[in-house]
Amino acid sequence: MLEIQGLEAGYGEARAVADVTLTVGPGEIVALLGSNGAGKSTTLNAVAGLVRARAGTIRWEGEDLARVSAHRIVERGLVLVPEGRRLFGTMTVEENLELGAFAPRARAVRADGFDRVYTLFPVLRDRRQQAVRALSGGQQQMVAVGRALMSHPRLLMLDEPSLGIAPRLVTAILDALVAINRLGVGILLVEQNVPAALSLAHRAYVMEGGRIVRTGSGADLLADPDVRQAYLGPLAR
Amino acid sequence: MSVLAQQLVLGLLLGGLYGLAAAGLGLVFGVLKVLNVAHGELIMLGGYGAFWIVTITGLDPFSALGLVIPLSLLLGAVLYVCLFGFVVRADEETRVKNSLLIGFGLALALHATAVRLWTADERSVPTPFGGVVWSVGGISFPVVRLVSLTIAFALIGALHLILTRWRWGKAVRAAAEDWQAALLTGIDVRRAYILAFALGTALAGAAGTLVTIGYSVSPSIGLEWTLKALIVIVLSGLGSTFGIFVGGLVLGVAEALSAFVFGGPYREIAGLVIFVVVLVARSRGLFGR
Repeated sequence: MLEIQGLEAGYGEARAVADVTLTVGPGEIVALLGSNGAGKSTTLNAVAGLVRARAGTIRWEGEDLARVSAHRIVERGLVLVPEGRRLFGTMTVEENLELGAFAPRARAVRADGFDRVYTLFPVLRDRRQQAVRALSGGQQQMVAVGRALMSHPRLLMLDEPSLGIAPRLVTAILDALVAINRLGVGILLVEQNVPAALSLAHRAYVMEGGRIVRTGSGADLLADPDVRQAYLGPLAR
Repeated sequence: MSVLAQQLVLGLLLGGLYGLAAAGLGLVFGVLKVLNVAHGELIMLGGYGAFWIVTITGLDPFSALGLVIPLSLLLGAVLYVCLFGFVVRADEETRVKNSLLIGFGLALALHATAVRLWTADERSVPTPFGGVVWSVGGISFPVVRLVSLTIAFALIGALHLILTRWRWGKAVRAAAEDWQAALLTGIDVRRAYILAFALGTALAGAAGTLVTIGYSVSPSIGLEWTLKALIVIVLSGLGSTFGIFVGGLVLGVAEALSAFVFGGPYREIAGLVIFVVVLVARSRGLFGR
């Protein structure tokens, strides 16, 4: 269970996140929406420990993460699939997945992890000996999600998983998220494709200028005229 | 003709040590994105380590590697924690400036300390088969240098295995490619950096030992070895460990060729010409893969 309370964070002088309070319950799918620069990525990076919170608290299963370093946060079962995938391009699919299970807890059940990933994305099993950079964008995104899954997370955070991917594969990735969620893994999703994200999510938050401006169930927000106007464009009316 | 062949053989044998020196510098550069300009002084230190181990214990010079390598690993870890660890997280400009300051400072300090402790004299260590030479078709192969080349190649192979087979070796490669992504997979990147610097220093120590056995060591050899290693890295890039070793061999042969064609004093020119030509031709420069 993730609880973010009054989070403030940013890079250098800039303050990308001003005041964010949100929660993700066990096994829940939560979407975090908003325009570019609203502070969604910074929020995820702060939870993952890549950016330090300047104010507010981030609690994971009751523990304050302020002094927990990024690699230990992964060990606690909280993992981020970063924007742009950030794979190890010169290494093979298998090596990338193996590195995903680097933490001792995950390494002990590495065989399970491989099974889980290859069941979810069968194409990766065929390509496991290929260098990741030779794969298509969609397949790379599968590796990125797979690498994160290898750490046996209880909460999976994803930053724009559909960015720059062929539409057919976007569906495959989003379907996989639902399948992952059925295994009991909570999901916190930042996604440009608002209708897709809202149809998936149990709940959603909308961010603007570093703050949460709206929250509700996926269905409610999908029906909200302001949200439709802002994110779905005039054609959606 | 046989004079040329002899020179090329000697160049190749020396080139193996260039390759070993460059592999250590290249590992640190590739992983930490920090050019350790004191790498040659670490080689010098390894050379003196071997000299004193042999002088005090009377061990066979080559078996001194068994002590020099672990001691260098330790020294590398200490140097990282006390010095270089403070600059790796800085933004690029600060990192480049500060790491050069630290590197030159360390180089000067080690050089001055070596002169103070051990004088500026050149030293070498005798081996039981020191003067033994194999002759093949009129070309002589000094056995000591042949053994050195073989050991250098074996160490490069060992480094390759560490980086490709061991899980912490893979962690080092991952941290080299994208340290934030490495953190996100649960790798303790600081530990990976310490390991990379320790391995780099161990390679320097091993190179220093072989230099002292096959040639000689004095406090002032550092800069020259840093320069050779840098030329090799520019020549071969950072992509592959064996590629760097081959680059070392190429530099050794090119130097021998240049000395043969233009005369002894022009030996050093070959490397510098290669350096400039490669940098001009490949404008991506040192960072290109």
